[in-house]
Amino acid sequence: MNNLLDRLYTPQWAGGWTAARYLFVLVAFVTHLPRWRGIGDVYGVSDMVFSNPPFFLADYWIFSPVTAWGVWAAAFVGLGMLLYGGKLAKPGMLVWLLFSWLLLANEALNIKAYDRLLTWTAWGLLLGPIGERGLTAKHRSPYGRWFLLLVFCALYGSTGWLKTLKETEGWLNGEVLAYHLVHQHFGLQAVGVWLSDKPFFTTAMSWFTLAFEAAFPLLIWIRRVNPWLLLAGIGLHAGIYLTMNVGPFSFVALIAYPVLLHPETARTLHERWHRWRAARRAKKAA
Amino acid sequence: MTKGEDRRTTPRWLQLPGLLLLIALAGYYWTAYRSVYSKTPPRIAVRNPYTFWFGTWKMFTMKERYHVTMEAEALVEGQWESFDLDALYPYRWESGYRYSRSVFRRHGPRMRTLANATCGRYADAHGTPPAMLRFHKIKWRKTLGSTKQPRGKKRRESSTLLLEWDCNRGLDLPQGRVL
Repeated sequence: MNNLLDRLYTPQWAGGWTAARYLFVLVAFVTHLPRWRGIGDVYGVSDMVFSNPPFFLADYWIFSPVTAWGVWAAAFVGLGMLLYGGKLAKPGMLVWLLFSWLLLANEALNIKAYDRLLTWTAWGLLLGPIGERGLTAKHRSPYGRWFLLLVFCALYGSTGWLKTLKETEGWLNGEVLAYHLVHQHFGLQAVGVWLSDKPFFTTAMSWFTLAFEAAFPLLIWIRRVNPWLLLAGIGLHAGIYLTMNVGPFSFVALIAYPVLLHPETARTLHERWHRWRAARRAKKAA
Repeated sequence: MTKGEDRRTTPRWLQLPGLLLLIALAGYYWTAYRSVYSKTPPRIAVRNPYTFWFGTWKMFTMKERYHVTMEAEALVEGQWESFDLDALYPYRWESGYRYSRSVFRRHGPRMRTLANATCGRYADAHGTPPAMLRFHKIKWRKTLGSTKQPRGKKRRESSTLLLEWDCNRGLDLPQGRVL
């Protein structure tokens, strides 16, 4: 047992956590900022109030528009603390979670997949060493990374296998994707519409999606494959961003990638980048 | 490993509870997956359907050949007039307006709340309070390869009455508020 625990908890290079923390702040900011437009229409209203499972906040507290403004703004204080880093990072994350969820739970109807994924990612970051500075020179417990790997295996694996098993034919011939590309809300993006009546492309894109999502939980653990799989993931999310209107989902999904990347690969990339910058500076000085 | 590297890990006493937590998380996700996939979902998921909502990732899975939207009419001075429902509730997500998702339309209390709120918002916007409201579900076939999504008989358009609402009827909201 001790041997297993030793292997599981062997410290790993922690530089990826810093990148993930900055990405989280940026994406959470972009996700939360537009909500101000909903204050007085969906947040802080007295007529369209809902209390339904799993959100019963309105049974105890219905926000006025002023309260909704306050809660919305307080979430940014948390993001500011997270951005500052150091000892403020983890309390900042908790402040962000508390106030952003107060706003979401008060609305109670439109909690999106990216809100849930952002929260899972936040928990992963809380379990990681984001409260420390100078992480590129440190090795820390991989626990938060195991947590995020599990979350992403579940995310990609379940969505991939559901597609494969529930709507096999429609995914294999590209039809499911084609119809989603012209969805009145999620679709109708210029590139997506153009692709939607070209079965060659929709079939190829569907196969790529199925292969990536269904194989992710198996392949992500293989060190040699890990960086290429994540590169494919960036391609998948870039494709979703270009062809569909799913809000900040594509960006939310990429926040954890610097942590999901094998730490030694990440360290090698980080060192190469530093060497390249140093060489450039030396060249300029000469 | 370089000599003098700063290396630290989880304290020994926390390692086993941490491992157990990861195993529990894997079990949670597996049950969440089965609750969506299986024809006979686990009993715990049937009894508490929202327990697994947070870990369920069913996104764009099924084929959807049809657009579905909701339209409304108001009875004003004895005449039924259609009006722009979306203009009364302007905020929208990428999934549409607050009431756009199918789970909203299928849920009676939510539809009644929308109806009652619309009586008030219509009166504020148009200056005349409606006597009644009607909500219709409109369904028509999608057109691939086109940003225009034409409706009509050719696209098998159909309309279903979802709710007829008397604006004089009261409605209890959370905390016993009456609109």
